[in-house]
Amino acid sequence: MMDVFSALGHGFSVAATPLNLLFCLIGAVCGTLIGVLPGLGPVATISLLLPATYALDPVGAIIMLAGIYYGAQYGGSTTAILVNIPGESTSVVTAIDGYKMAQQGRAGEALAIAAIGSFIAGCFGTVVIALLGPPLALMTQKFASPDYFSLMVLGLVSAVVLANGSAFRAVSMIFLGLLLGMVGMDINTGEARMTFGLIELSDGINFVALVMGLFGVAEVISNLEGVSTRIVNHSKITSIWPSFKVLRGAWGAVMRGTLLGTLFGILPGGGATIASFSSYALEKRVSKTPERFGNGAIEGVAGPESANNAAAQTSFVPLLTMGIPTSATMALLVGALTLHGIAPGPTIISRQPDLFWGLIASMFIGNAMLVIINLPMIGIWVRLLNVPYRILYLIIAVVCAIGVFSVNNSSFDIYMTVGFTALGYILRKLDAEPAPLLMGFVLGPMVEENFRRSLITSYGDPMVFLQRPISLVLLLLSAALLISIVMPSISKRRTEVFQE
Amino acid sequence: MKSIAQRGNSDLYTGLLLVVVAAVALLYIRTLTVGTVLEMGPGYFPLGLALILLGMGLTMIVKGLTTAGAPVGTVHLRPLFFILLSFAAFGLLVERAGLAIAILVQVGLAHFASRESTWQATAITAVALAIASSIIFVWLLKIPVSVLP
Amino acid sequence: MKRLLVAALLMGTGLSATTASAQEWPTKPIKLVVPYAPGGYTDAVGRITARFLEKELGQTVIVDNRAGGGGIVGSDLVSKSPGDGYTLCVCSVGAISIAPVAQTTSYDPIKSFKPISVVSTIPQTVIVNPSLPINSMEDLVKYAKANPGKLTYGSSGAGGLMYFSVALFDARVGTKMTHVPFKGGSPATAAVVSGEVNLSFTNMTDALPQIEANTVRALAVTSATRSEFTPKLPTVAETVSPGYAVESWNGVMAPASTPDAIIAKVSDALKKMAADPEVKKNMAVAGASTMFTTPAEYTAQITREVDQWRTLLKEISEKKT
Repeated sequence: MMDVFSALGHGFSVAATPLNLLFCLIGAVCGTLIGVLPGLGPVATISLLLPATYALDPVGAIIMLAGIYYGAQYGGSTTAILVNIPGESTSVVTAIDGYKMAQQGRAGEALAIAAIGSFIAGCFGTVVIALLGPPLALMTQKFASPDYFSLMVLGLVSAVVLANGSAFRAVSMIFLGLLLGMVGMDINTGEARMTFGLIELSDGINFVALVMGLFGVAEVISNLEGVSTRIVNHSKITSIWPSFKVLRGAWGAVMRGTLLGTLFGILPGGGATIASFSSYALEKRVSKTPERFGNGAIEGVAGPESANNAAAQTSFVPLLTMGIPTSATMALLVGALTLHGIAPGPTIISRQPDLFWGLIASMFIGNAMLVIINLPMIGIWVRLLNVPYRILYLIIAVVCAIGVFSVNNSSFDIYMTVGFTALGYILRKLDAEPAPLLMGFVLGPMVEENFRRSLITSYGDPMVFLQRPISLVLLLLSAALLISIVMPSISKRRTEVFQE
Repeated sequence: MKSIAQRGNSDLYTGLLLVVVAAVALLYIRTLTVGTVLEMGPGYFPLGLALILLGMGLTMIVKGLTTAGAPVGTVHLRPLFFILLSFAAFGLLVERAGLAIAILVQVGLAHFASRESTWQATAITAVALAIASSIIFVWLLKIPVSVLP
Repeated sequence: MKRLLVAALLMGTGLSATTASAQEWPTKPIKLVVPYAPGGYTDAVGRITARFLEKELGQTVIVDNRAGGGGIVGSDLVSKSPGDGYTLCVCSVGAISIAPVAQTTSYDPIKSFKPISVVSTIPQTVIVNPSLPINSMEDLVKYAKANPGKLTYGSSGAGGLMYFSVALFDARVGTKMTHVPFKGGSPATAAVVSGEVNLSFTNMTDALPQIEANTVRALAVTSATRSEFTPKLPTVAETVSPGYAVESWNGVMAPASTPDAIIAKVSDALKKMAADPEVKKNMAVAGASTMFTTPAEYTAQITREVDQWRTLLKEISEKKT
């Protein structure tokens, strides 16, 4: 244990040099600003700014690029809350209650809670990397396809909890999402599925195009429908700062979200997404007043935001301890390290102690910087809502269009956005919620991939899902959650029957 | 443009939507190998999902026809049409005519989506957006598009 | 006659215009299309190349990532771009030599492009989980023949080089191993480390750090000659399958209509690049060997590879039926 502290001390001596502090600051600021722009996520940003780091030394470069990544997590919630545009799958749930809060004039509160929760979660996640990185990485090694499959099932069941309306409709939206997720090349055979012969669809439907259409642009259209339904956000901003009471109410959610995020963030693939969704589901479950969820519940922002920031930190664990990138962003950091002459691998801690501990120390510094930068900026963001909507919607439209384009530099994705905007608008009119759809879309391909792989590696034995302890526990959890969803509606129906 | 008021309830239309999506998917899935549980082909999962979706859609249609559900929201064609058109125009122009023109055209079309927008404000916003985006996205972030044709 | 003259005149001016512009080339930023997502191995090679060309040609070189369809989307885009020298690509073996045979692409690997030079090559490495009693390629073949269908290998998906290199191996030595596709090369490599699959033919970039940390056991490299990074590892060809050679390359290509003057200029720049110690060092970190070929050699190589994969695919489909 002592070793860790002396190593961390060394890390701080690396990270706290004026130059590295500057890189950390630049990364954090760039990350926040670009995270705010919808569509331009950390992947696009890091790849766009990568050439600018060629001249730096590797430690400085990686500190800056990592700063962009977790900075973008802070910024990503901003547009989700202000204008209902989640830039990434992890902020989809933040938009549900965050945007409602903004409409009620509580945007400042929501943004502040998001920033504070993110700070706590980010610091906690970093402590976990420092203390437990290598053993946790070994834990992820225990996860095999059947376990991932069961984890995805848990995520899908959580998605039902997200819905405010009928569970049946939520399930139908999940299935719609799952089906949309099937579009693209089948990795088992290389065959194109439901791509309508379009080569652009061979890697599947672009997530950003889908989410911008379903959420952001569809929202713009319904806001333009008439004065009566116009957003009221600038009419009464009640508070910018959360009151002590609100903070206390959010405290538990921040803690639970942090733990969930820390744990799930380490897992490859949908770890961070599942963390934020299940955090929302958990908060709704433990709340004494679940009916507030979907109508501006602060826990619905605090929990998922903390979860996704904790996950953003701990997703570095497999990369830094095993050299295995678990997401597109991490793969990009591998590329960045490679360009700087470092091949990340299991030996990185012993061979590059400066880099490993310097990066971890910089994460503490960066998170502190971010909360200091972000809290005063909340005032500016909230004032953005004072821009008359007849101008604001033009800005949103242009920024969305560029954002979608910049993901793959593809006009095709913009046409996809047009299609999904129409779908999003129709769903809105039909009172069908898009969040469960997105969850199905994100998890669908992973469900299938892991299910089929499980059966291949078990030579066709379906019992594998019950024989593996991790998988069994996750499936039991899913079953329990499912029962807890179904039971109330059954008992409700019973009481109705009795009353009749 | 007048707004169209829809009759019927949301269950019915949601059901219809799901059935249509499932039917289109099934039409396409016909060409894929389905396989068995133990040796799944590329069509196995999509087929299962499409069938479940079809079932759920039909259930909703029945429910919608037999019970009085929530009414469908009013569809306003004007904002829908112009916003969609503005995005399509951006997509068409951004690589052919450059970012600046794409933005000007997009904003110009999006202008018609709102009843409250004024030409002056729209024009100023359009020019400001074109300049700001060119600086931020092309000059600073170097996304691979040109500003002008 | 008159019309012909005018046409000839027009063509002449047109030609002189293109040669003039070819001589001045480059006068504006060059777009270097990388048909894969940022962060991968090809992306790294693309960025190293862009960085060098920028210095050498004195023009901005923008890396344009156009991921999709295992490199097909980006390669397709380049094949349809104007041949003015301002759109080039860092293409790779998968989309150029394999995909046009394995599936349908709208471009022809030879006719739609002017290959300029291979810039880097990288062998696949045969790695197995260390808990298996397999210490050599001979062991692997023996084990696989004793347990047909029981050994599992991870790949980056059907249609990718990782899959095809094992399919070719199976066809040559007469083994039968079970294919377990992953979404990308690094999760497949990670699965060998964790033991979820038994082995994989992984590219050197992913394999090297794991080999050094002894988390996997390396048996051989798939290239025709040994790799400079792992001189002790034999090739598959010298152990169990003479003639077996699979190598992943990245090379700079231009649309077919690009004038030869520009091709020559790029070729000169890439020749210098192959000798640049800084480039060599950075490529080495990615596990890649820096290369230079003339456009003619490059074209010949692609032709040869297309034949090899076409034959293999025929063998596989004949075996199935």
